[in-house]
Amino acid sequence: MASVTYDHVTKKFGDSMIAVNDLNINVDDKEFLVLVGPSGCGKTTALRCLAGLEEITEGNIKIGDRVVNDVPPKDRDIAMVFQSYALYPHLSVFDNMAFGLKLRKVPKDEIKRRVEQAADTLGIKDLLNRKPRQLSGGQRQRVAVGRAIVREPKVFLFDEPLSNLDAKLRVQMRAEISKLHQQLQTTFIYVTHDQVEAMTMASRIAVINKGVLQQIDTPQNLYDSPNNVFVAGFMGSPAMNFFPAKLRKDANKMVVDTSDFVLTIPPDRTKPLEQHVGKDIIFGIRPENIHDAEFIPPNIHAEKVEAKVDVTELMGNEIYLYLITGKNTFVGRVDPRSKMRMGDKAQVAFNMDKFHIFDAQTEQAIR
Amino acid sequence: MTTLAQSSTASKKEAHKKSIWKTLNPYFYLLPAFLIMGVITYYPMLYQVWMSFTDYGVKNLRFNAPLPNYVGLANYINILTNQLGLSYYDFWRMLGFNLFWTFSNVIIHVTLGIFIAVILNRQGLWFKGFYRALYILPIVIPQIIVANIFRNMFDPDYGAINQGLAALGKFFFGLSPDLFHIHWIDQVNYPVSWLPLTLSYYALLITNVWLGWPFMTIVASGALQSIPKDLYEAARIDGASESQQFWRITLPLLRPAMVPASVYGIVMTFNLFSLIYFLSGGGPLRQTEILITTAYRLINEQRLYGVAAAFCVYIFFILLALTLITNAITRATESYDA
Amino acid sequence: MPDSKKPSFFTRVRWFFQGRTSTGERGMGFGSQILSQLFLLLMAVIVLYPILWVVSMSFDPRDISRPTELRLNPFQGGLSLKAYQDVINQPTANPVSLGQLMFNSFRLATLTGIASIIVGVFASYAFSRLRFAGRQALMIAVLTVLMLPSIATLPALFVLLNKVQIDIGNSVFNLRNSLIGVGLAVLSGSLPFAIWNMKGYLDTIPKELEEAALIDGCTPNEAFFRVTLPLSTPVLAVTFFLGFMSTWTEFATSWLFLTNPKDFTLMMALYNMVGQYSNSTPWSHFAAMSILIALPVTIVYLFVQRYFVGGLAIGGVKG
Repeated sequence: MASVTYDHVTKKFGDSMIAVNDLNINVDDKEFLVLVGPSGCGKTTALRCLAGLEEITEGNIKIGDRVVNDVPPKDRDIAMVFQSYALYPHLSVFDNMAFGLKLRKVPKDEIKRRVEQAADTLGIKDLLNRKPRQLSGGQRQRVAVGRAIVREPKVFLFDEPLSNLDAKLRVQMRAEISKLHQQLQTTFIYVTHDQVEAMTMASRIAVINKGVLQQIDTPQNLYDSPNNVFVAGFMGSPAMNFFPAKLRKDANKMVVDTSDFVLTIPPDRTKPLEQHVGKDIIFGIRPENIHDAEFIPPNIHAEKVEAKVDVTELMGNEIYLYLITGKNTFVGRVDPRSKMRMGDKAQVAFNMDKFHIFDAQTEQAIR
Repeated sequence: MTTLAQSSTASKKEAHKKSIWKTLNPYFYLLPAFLIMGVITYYPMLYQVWMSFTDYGVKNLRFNAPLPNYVGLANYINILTNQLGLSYYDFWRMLGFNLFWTFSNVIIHVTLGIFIAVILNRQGLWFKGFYRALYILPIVIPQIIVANIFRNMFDPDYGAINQGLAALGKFFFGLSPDLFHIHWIDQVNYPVSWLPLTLSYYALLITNVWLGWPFMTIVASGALQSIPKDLYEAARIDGASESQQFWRITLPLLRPAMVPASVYGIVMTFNLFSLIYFLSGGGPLRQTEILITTAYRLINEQRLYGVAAAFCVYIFFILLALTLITNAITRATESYDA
Repeated sequence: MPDSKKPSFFTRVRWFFQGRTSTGERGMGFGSQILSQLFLLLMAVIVLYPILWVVSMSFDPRDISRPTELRLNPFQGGLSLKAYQDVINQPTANPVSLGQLMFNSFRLATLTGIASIIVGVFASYAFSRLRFAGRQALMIAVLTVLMLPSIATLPALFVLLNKVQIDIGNSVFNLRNSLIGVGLAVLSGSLPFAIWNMKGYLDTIPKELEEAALIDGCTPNEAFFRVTLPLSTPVLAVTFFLGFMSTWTEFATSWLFLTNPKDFTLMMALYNMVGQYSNSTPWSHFAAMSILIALPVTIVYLFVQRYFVGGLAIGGVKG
């Protein structure tokens, strides 16, 4: 049980390729931190640096109060679940799980007790004598987790552990790993490229892009107030709609002018935007905040926009509308009662209580 | 403050020591192999280069014998200008024969190998498993034993080839068995007058085709099975005939597997010592001698170690050129799934 | 398939003659089936012809020097094991039994095979996994030897090994004129092959397994011994067998090096039976000897060939 600190950590491969760039993260004890980002963004490298599988170029990594830069992996008191599970093919499930304990000279009956307890928790008690190749994907996954549990490490590391499972199993394992975190009360650090996994499991999420930490916060805060265009676009599906626009003052009202349509900003949100009047901005709004004009929820500031329906996708509980106005295309998630069909001229309503404005130059949020 | 600084320098020293071990660690893994190869491979190779500039012979073998005389490039020149004192020795003809031998073999192996693999891969073929099991035999029987057996079979009077041909000739055409005393190994006249190849070349070719095609069939079969069936279905829908399917789909998709297999075949056939040494012995009149068998004769029969060393240096460079050329060809033909 | 019911026996017989596959899919037409069968049968006869010839000859009861007619059926004219008995007692004019020859070949093949995998596996691991200065150069050094046929280093090996002489009492031990010397020369060629072959396999073992071992508590060296080495047993076995097989039938080096009949190997004895002074050797003896040499390795090869024909053997060359 320990905190983890990345203190100005930089990892270079060769001279030019910077995988992790000046990373600063404090992971509290017992926290479930998810590192998320597109593939090749450096999240896995950051995790491998913590595990000791890669040497860091600059900075310090601390587990608890101890700087572990030069500590070999085996002495870091961590356990890791690999994307490919990395089960030893020549050992039985029991021996796979017992491997680390045997190396640490844990007494035999203690090993047996711990392995059986972990197998019980994970529901793989019947498989202990099998070899990894006789197991299904989901079972292998459990063994890999079990191998980590029995070690009772200070920190658990997960490197995209669910990406090799089918969709249904993935949802199930997601819940199980969350439950496991509650039971074990240990620090979890989890790498994934799947923002749904990040949202559902994390106590905090760190979004990484091109080796640089973009934002670290709770899932809800990250979703509600993204720091920049990358985070806003990465979290949420379908992704947030972005419109290049200009801020203008129009007879006492502040408006966003996308050149296809003009939206009025509610007076209570104009204050931080004053300095940007007359400048280029990016206007962002999530699909669920775009409604069919006939089904506008009560008590919102709705601004109507004319658009053409390009494609509709019926999802049952809602409809995805792919809309076109002038040179902008965007997506709305509207009420399933909506009558809009392909090719229609449509009137949609933007919920102006929930929008995001970013500086067009820096792509940082203005708020 | 001071204690902290001290402990940090101490740990730095410790870390430094560790990193030295870490850097050296790979070399410990390499040490046993390179120690042994240094003594029994690399040192002899260098020594051989030195030998090639001397007249190293039997006289220098004796314990405490004097060092051989330095003769400069004489060995190298004599080899190329055919002044080795070996009868019927002609370096350039031999090099040409060696290359012709190599490519004629590999072309036949690959063609026959693919042909049979395609037949074996056809849907609904009877006794597939039987043929597959049987055709493995030439691969698993030691090559040198096969060479000896074929030498025996090519015997002009009692060999199985001539007796078999006589039986067939009598059965189908009523020919007298006395006609079939073909001197496969030692007939000097060229059977095809405008091709400077003796009958022993054809005997060697027959034997090596017997030995070589199954390997190519296995490689091609593996590649054929990995071609998705829906490609052929798509081609049929597009209106491709069977032969078009073969030339447009099968053959291009076999290439990534067949090219490295052919390169392997080329290198193996170029140096096919055992077959030639045991079957034709390079004869008649050195007409089927290749580089590697000549090198062996120079050591084993002539005992001209200096000349043999120079000869092996030539072999080294010829093989290097052959390898680089074939590698360039391999690299030029990339696989499709890359 | 419209229904999943298993086809009846008669349906399957019908399919067989219609040239359909076992699942009833359309196969080849009857005409091309017959043509293919004829061709494949011809190839089968060609493959079997030399084997039948030599097997049949080895059972020839008549102890004559040359067979006067085409024998392909081993049962024709009676079976006799006399040729085998003679060959086992004393295959050549040299006063050496087959047992002695086999023992020599076996020692040579086993020891060089074992030496090449034990010494080679460490180097192949370094090449496959570890990063170090000079890796490229050392790999080229290995490949260079791999490219060379073993005969191309024989002049120097002969001369150098010949220099190692030790006086032991009334006789002189010459390293060149001994099985140890032949073994060293053979190892000089087989070690690079072993390194390269094993490297090709180690490359396919996922790196994550070692990383998992590092996290589980291994040092890098322990990870090699406890995880990678046990996982590479198949390639160790295959490499050993390939080394064994090539040394078991090795000829050029042993023929050049050895002069004492007590040290002779199987292939040397066989060469004595077919060489130019062997007109008196009955062919039945030659045939029995060939079979006795080839049979053990052929049987083992038959069982293990699917592991490397077309796979590992090529992988070694492709690099």
